[in-house]
Amino acid sequence: MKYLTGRRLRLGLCLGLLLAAGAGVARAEPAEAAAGGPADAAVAVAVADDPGRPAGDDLSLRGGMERIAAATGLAAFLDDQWGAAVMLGVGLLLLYLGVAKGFEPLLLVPIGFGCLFVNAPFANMGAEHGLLGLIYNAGIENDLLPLLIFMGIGAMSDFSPLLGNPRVVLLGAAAQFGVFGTLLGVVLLNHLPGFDFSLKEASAIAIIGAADGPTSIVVGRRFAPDMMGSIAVAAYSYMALVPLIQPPIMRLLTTPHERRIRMRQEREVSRLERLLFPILILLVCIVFLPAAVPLMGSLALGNFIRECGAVERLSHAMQNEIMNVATILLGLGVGMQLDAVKFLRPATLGIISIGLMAFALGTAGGVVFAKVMNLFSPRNPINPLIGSAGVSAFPMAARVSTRLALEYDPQNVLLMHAMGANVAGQIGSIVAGGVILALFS
Amino acid sequence: MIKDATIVMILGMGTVFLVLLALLAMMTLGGRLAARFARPRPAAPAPGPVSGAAPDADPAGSDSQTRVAVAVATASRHGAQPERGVSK
Repeated sequence: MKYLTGRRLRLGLCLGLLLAAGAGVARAEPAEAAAGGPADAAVAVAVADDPGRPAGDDLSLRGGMERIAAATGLAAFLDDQWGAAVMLGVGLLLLYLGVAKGFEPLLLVPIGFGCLFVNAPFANMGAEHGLLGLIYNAGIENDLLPLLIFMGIGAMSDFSPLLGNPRVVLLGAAAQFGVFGTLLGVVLLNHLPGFDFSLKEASAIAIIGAADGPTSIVVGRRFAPDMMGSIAVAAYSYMALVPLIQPPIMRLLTTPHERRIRMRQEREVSRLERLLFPILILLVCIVFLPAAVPLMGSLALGNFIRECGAVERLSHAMQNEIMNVATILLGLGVGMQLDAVKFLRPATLGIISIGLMAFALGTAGGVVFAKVMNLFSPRNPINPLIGSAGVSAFPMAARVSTRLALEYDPQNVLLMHAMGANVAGQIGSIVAGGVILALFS
Repeated sequence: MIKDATIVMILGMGTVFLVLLALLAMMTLGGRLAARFARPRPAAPAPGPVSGAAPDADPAGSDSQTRVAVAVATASRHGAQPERGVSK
């Protein structure tokens, strides 16, 4: 109680009065409030005192207080926007996870702020001409920002580990079972009450298993626009939780002997190979899956600029300035999708739970496929632990594989092999997204 | 709908494997071609005499057989062409 004295007490009383007035206005003018919200209702009350003057020209003390009270967020929360208050809590939770727990802070911080912005009553930041609305329409609605992110990823990626041991590319394919296996899971979820996903929506949710944020956003925006925010948040959150999700599955599916398998050293990769690789993946994509060309092409462009060495400035800009700006804007744009109406519904719970299943299936698919590959090449075996790096969560998944292998054999450093599987997972996730785009577009 | 999802799953995994198998084949082929046609790396320059070192200080050692072996290896590395059809 000692804190509630003097100035603080007076401030609290004023706030209480404002609140009471605001709630009173909201209750007294339900028709106006329904038509235009409490702020409009307050203006309507003031104008009703003097119908000859336009709103805002005449301000009595009581009318002004009523206007301010009705325009507060608290009045809105008490009226009918309680969901926005809940979503503010979700936004703060995302900030906590990003900052305090270190879960993908580059994305969760802007997403968290986007969530706070869009759920601020009367701020209209998510409206067409609001900050978030502008970002969404100019950068996400047309896939610009996800593609810029892919350019940055390409400029930061080194495909040498994959080129040095090309067969691990199949682990990147096997891990996409996290996408297509989850699709069945989403369809089965429809048998529970409260869930009714179409096949397109189910595919958009299943893409969480690709463990690839930009791909999830591109596919989610096309086929489940109302769920895009939940899908992106689930994808990024589980990517951050890879060190917790993957190890139990990896231990479950491997024996101690398999975890100690030492792999042969990769061959040396020439500069020419590294230079031609982005052209190669682009050509393969053009020939087999043109629907994925925007995504793969952006990745290839970024990587070619990195490897050619002729445009260091552009490479540097893609890895830093462009990537950073795109990350901030993409995060805010995704956060805009976290408004109460879209997020607070049973489907979100389904997406969050099915996302976990997607990551588990992707991990299992990679590990099991590595074991299958060992049946066919017993003389040059693959440590199954790198199979889990076939999911696209880069470079977290590769680090997890390496760390787990070191636990069982401190001399067995699998990092480069796991990196190879990890960049294969990036390519595999783009292909998986391209397949879904090709099937349903 | 389960039937549709199963079809999507089969088509999806099939396409992913097909595309990445094509990529694997091309990477393997590219690696072999690169090994066949890539120029050999220039040998590391032999360390010159270190100022202040004794005139008979030889990094390869004072053994004459060792010096001969180093000379032969250096000459063959400079003169030899890459063996055709052998990948690294």
